[in-house]
Amino acid sequence: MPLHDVCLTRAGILRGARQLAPLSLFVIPFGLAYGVAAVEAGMSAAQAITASALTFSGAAQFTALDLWGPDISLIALVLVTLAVSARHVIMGAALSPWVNQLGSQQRVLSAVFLSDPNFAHTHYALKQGQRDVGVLIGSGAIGWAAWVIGTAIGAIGGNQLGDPAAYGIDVLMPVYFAALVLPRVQARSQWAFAGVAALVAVVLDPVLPSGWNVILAAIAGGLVGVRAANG
Amino acid sequence: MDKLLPWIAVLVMAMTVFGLRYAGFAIMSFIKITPRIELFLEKMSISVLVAIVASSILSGGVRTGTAVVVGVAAMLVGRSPIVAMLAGMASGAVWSFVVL
Repeated sequence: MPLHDVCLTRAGILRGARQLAPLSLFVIPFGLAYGVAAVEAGMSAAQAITASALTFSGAAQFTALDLWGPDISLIALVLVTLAVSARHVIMGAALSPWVNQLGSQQRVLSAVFLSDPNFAHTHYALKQGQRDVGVLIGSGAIGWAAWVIGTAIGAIGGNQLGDPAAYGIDVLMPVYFAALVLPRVQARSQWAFAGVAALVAVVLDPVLPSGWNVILAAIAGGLVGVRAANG
Repeated sequence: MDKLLPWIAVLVMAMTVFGLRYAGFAIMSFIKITPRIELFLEKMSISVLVAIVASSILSGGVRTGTAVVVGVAAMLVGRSPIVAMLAGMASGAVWSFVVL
């Protein structure tokens, strides 16, 4: 099967940044919340900002705060980070038909900013026929900038926005993901695998460590989808 | 060491997450992408987002579920993720104002 001809251009990076700029604005309050929580947990402002700049993962960073302290266990930190962030492996695999056609440096660059929103945005765009992986980097970089700026504001200036829930910002990501997924599961033939994914995620949520239910749900949905398509 | 440990922890966390980000590309570079594998990746990519939404609704409760339903309805009418996001946000904000 011919794979997809791909490229990585500056224009693609800028397009990706432009396309996800509106959504990224709403990342700032989350970053701010992290900055406040990190300082409250005992991190210095510089450590909190560095953590956001280098890690760029709300799930991993917020979870790590539960472990934070003078005697933080690095092994526990690695295990918890692996658990809550392992879905990146699934996302990387899903993008691999495109990204793996790039050179090794460009592949590394593509991984640096991989996160939930830019994965959702880019995978959708690539399936629609776009071929510029720069969109992944640009849309990720704009979210990264917002995350780091938000963290800096929160870590240095404290909580100046109040509760994000008051503005409905906390529900933004699930709504955005649902909106992107909707056109791809509207056909009746797509309901089975999507339903299985949702069911597995919900059933396993209370019994597995955070994050693993999403991974198993993704794999289950993938397997059911293949089976359904092949009769 | 005490002063260094938090910085080491930050670096360890960052390297772990980056390793996971790159792992998907690395693993798949050893696997030949047949039509069946490509179909699996396609369904899995949608499933991971469905699972995130389902988990969010589970943890966020009726308020998040309502916002997702409102957003999906707005997407069906407006055909734009931006419209869906604004509608979902408005739903969440109204819920917070009225119910909480």
